Amino acid sequence: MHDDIKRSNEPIFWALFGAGGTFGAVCAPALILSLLILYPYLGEGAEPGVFYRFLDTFIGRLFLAVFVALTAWSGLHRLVHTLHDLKVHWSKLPLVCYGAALLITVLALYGAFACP
Amino acid sequence: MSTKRKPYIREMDCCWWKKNPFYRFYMLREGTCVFSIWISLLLLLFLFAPASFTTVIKNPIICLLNLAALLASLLHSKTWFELTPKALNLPADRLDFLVKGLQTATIAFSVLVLALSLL
Amino acid sequence: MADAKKMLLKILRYDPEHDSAPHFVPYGVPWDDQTSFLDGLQYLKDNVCPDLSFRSSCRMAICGSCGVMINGVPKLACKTFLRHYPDGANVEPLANFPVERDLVVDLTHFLEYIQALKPYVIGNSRQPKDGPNMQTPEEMSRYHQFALCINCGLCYAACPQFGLNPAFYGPGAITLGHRYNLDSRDHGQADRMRNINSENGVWGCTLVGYCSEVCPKHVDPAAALQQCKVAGALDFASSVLHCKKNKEACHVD
Repeated sequence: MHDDIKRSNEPIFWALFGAGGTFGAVCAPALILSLLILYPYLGEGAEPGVFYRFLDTFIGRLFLAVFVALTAWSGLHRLVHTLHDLKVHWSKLPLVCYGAALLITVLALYGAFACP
Repeated sequence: MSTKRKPYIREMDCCWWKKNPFYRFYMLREGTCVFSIWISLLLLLFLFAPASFTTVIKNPIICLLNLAALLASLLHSKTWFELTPKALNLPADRLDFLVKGLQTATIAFSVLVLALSLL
Repeated sequence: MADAKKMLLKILRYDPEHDSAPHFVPYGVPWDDQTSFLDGLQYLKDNVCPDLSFRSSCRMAICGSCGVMINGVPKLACKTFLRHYPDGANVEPLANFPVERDLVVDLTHFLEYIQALKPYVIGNSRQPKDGPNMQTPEEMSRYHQFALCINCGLCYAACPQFGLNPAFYGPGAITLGHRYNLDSRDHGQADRMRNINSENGVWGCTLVGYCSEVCPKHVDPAAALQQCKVAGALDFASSVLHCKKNKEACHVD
């Protein structure tokens, strides 16, 4: 029986996973198509598309930074569980994955606020 | 007290998910996380260094990976919206409305972004 | 049935006094369109191998005793018919549980978790003289499907997370706890939430969803667990914000 009931801290990561998963489900297909596949053809040159010019504004960069951060949290949270499913038992795995997600979050926000 | 009990424990190996089509699809769904991490890293590069980002995504192998990421994101969207109603204890008609709303939002956002990219 | 055609059933046999591991034994079972797997097992016990062990009681899918794996899928033997397996079938004890003997598994974990989740009305001071405790159809519809659980354990056999970590409370017990959390007559949510939000509680679930697929009573345990996660996350947030002074505040819809 479970007499040693310890509160799990999973809700924090689950909430971020849920937010990132929903954000990604709505936005990821379009962003992949527009930025990762079509960017060299539409985003560069003398007259980039309106969407690419939007991403040059502060709001646009912030939007992208939030997407990057939440997608990282969501992806890395799933990775932790998937590796557990594959019986990869490394006790530092959650620390490494969530640490990486935190690092990506800090970098993305820095990129949005500080970089050109 | 002596006992004749000797419960046999069937250990799960790491290939458990290969034996059942339902589990295989679950692993495919969860596997999309690799591409989530991938696009997150690429877009991080875009925020910092758009010039090297362009060079990177022009690489044919990266191009193929990004096409795979697009397919993975579509699978993620489909499965995510199908499973969203499970988290909410609402009457069926309201859940149906919610799922249709999320799907419509995805299509609308995609059309908008694509149109604005072309303009 | 003596002249009837025979179907090949391979049954996973295990005798703890003599066997080091379970092994398949083939049997021929006479059958027609109305023969269930439970009928087949009973035929073998009566006519072929009296030492064959399996659990059963009601033979009408309400007692939840006769769960087995048929071709690797958790099924109630009484509700599954040989006619759907013209090429024969493998019959094994429910997956993820220790095998006690033949098709009998040790359900101790499952039963302990049900007990821990307190699936009964808590904190209702109503007396018989107060008359029936009425609910609106809307109040009942919030939990009704979760109340159809017969504790057969098929969802545990379908749950890889329970297989990977037997300390995980698992789909059935959490669903039963959730059923009472959703009941307007119950005031025990804060109590159950301690277990649900613990390290072996609902957070072990990764929404594989196979539990809901195999449930013979069409309960949706996967939905109950996702709803518990939402309630659990809100409970976590409220505990962080020190809103726990008033127990009413911990009731999460």
